[in-house]
Amino acid sequence: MNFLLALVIYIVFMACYWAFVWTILWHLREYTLPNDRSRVYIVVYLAIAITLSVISLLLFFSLPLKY
Amino acid sequence: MIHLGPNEKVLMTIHRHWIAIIGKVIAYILILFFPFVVAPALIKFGIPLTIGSSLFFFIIYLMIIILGLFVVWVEYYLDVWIITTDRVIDINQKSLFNREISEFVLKNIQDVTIDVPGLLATFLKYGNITVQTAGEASFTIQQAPNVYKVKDLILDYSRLNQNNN
Repeated sequence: MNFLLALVIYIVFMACYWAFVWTILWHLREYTLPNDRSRVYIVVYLAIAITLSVISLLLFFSLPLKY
Repeated sequence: MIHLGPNEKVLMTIHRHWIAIIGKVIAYILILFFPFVVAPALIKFGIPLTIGSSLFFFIIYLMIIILGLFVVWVEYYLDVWIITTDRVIDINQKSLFNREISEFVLKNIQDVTIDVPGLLATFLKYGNITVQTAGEASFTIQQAPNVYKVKDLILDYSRLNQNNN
């Protein structure tokens, strides 16, 4: 596959993914109850999602694509 | 956001029992292993898979699965009953961005019914609580934990509110 096309698909995927995550987080911020453990779960999820996004970005450049 | 009255205090917040979401969580965990079945089949059919590309697609897949699990938790977390000293606020999270909020004052409560359906519910101590109020519809929370404690709390504060008026 062409590198530019793959890059566009990857960027569109990441943009959709993080827009959806941001929407959920905004929704949670509106309705979260004070003084509970929800913040822990949110931070754990965000840490995992950010780590996986960074790993995927690094792996993207190791894909056998045509330049 | 929930706005409390000047002397109102939150007594308890009730989320559904974890049994309510365990089916979805197990389904997502099983789906997580799907690539381990598909990848050998692709190699068998002669489709070349490098370690880098396999890992890349697995990471993307993992991101989607983890997002799905997070959505399951969000729906579970936002579906809640808040019992305060004056009222019960029933927040019914139908789907991720679809919620229904209703509330009833404790002094109007006429009847509280608990239903512990079956062996599993008895062992794991969860059940359904239905509250009937005067002149209003009944409110039910499905698969709530500590049903006896919740029932006692609602009835105690209902009597207290009725005696104060």
